[in-house]
Amino acid sequence: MEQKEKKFKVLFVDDEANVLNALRRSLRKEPYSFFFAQGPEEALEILKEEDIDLIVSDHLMPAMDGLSFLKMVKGLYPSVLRVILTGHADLQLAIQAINEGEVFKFLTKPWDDLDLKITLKNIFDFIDLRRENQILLETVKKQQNFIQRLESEHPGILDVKRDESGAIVLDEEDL
Amino acid sequence: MARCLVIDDDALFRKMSHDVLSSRGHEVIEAETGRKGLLAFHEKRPDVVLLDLVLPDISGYEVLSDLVRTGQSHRVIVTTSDFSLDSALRTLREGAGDYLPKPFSEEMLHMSVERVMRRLDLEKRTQGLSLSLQHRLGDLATLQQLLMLMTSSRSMDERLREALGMACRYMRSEAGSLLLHDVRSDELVFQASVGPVAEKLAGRRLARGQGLAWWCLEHNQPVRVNAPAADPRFDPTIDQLTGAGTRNILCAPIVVQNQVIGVLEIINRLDADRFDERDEERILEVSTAAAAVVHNFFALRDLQRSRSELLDWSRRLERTVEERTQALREMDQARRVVVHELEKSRNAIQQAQGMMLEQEKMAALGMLAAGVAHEVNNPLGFVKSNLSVLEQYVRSLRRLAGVAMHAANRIAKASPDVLNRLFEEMGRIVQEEHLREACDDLDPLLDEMGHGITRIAAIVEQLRYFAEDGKSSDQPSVVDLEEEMSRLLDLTRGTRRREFATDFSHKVPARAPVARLRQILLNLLGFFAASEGAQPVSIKAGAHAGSVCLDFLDPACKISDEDLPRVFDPFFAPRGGPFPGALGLSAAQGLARSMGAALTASRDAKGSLGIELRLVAGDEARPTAGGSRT
Repeated sequence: MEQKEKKFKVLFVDDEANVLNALRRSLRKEPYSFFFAQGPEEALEILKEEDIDLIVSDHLMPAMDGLSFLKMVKGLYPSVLRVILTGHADLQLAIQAINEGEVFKFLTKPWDDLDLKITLKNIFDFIDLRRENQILLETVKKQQNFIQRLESEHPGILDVKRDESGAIVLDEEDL
Repeated sequence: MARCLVIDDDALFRKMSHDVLSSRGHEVIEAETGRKGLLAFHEKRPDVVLLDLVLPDISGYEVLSDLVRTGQSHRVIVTTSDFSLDSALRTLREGAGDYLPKPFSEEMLHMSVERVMRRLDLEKRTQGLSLSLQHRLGDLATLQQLLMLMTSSRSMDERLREALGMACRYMRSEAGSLLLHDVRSDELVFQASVGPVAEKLAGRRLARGQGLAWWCLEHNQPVRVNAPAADPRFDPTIDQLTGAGTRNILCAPIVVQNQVIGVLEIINRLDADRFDERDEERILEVSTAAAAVVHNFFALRDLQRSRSELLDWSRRLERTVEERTQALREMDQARRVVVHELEKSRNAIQQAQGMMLEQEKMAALGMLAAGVAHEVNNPLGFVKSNLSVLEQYVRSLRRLAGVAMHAANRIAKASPDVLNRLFEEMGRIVQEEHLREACDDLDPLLDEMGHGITRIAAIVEQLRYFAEDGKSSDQPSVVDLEEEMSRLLDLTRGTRRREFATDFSHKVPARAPVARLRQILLNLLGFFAASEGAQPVSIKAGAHAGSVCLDFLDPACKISDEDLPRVFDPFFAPRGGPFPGALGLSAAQGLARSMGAALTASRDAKGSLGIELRLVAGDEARPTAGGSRT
């Protein structure tokens, strides 16, 4: 199927190259495409080029903090899911991040590699489900449109008559 | 000259006596019998009687006895021709004044008459003296009693009545009244009365001008009226009201200290039908005594009244003092309660303030800790992650190594087929495990891990340094402000919202207790880092005479002139909005004071808030500036 062949694209943003390197290493066997940016500016460049599904951003960065950056991304690319990965485990920040709907998940450093992989898997399952849901919804819509067109061309075509035993009764005049 | 009665039956003798006595100017009455002689005596009251013992009707002895009975015998000169010593002694013993035997010479008669007359005169004078002596004695007794009354302790009315009674006795009068002048109503009041209508008079009042008493008062002189009905000054209404019958009346003013305070009335002389001048003198004596009594009484009454008033006042004062004392005690009690409450509130406030300061301190520490956590968590994150990758690499390499070692052991004996299979196996492992990439990655991975661990170690080293200095930091030592500042900025980088731009072109060693200085700097960083702003907060070091200073200026924080002095209030909140970190700023000022430094606020031309920390310069020249940091 088309969707399964397409690899999910993940963009990591952190001002610390060591962190990006470590992430690249630990996720090297994961079946997704990874992009790495050392700051919001670089990240925005990548977002222009690539159809990114998920952004994982650090919070404390020199130019712009992660929350503000993700807010900005939400405005530009609403369908991109957003995750914070920060060493500054501030409860206030976490509450703010989730309440304001800016991020899907709030992860802390140091992270657990397995945890991170499971999180990514869950997020992509969610994206799959959302996408499938979307496709199903579109199919239903298409069929609904088709039915409406049919009904308008052949009125009564959708009415099904049944006798006492439940058997379908055919209108002899139409035959 | 005397009136002489000659009782003798001898006409010639009578003629001769008449002639002799008349020649000397005496009046002569003649009687020829005893009875006629007694009659003449009682009618004419002669001074001297010439009595013959031999008379035709009754004897001269009988006449003499009659005169002895009336006490007049000493006027009698017995004349007789029948002289005998016996008769002479008898008549003289009977009480005759003299004995003159007939015939006697003219001269002898004159001498005898003179002798009798002289004796009569003496007797009369003696009698008068004795009488006046008796009166004087009575007066003295009365006055003495009056004087005794003055000092007696009985009530005024009782004393006045008693004195009045005495005055009446003294004046030999039936009744008396003492009237006092009531100045307020301008009336005379019957203060005390004695006599038949005394009870009806008590308390009666006389309006000004009414009656003799008022006349006496107004004229300040005694007055005596012996025919009241005919005197216009006398007011008969009192008599009509009381039923008294005033026959004669005597009034005298009562004068105390040159002021007429009342009138003394004496009414109805008992042993005569009129008051005379002598009585006027006597009433003055009495009124003087009465004035003394009244004055004395008033003085005493005033004294007693003053005393009782004083006692009353004293008692009232005592009571007032007692009340005041009680009120004061209650107020003091209330004050103490209020003070206690205030102290409790103050303690609570201080406690709360202390807690908030402590919390602020903890917040500053929290900022430091969070900064440290961030600085540690980042390298810890990638070191940990790299470690798990390294484990995978090691596992893959071990798998390859297992096959390689197997091949190495067999390389001599094994067939080329087997060896080929082993090599293929190894090749597959390299393929499967991406060992080529892993091997390429090993060096950078170990490098990065080493880097991360070094960073963590450095942070720990800094913390250890903080901890070490905490022990001896309360002693002032020379501190490099630049080093302190950059260290704190490093440590808090992870949690600051604000950037700080430092200018340490002036090298400024300061002399301060390091721990407290760090707390102040941390609080200041916390204060500025709490607010947002695009422009960085500038920190500039400078030096003035004997002191060094750090000037913080936040272009994003605007402050008004009126708010400026309140910046260091622990709960300062300007009108512009919240002022986070105010408590930390206040605490920093307190800390600065405690170490002899100063923290002041200022406002630049653009209204931006500036905070200056002024410290003692840590010159090398200072003898006390001993400590280099250890």
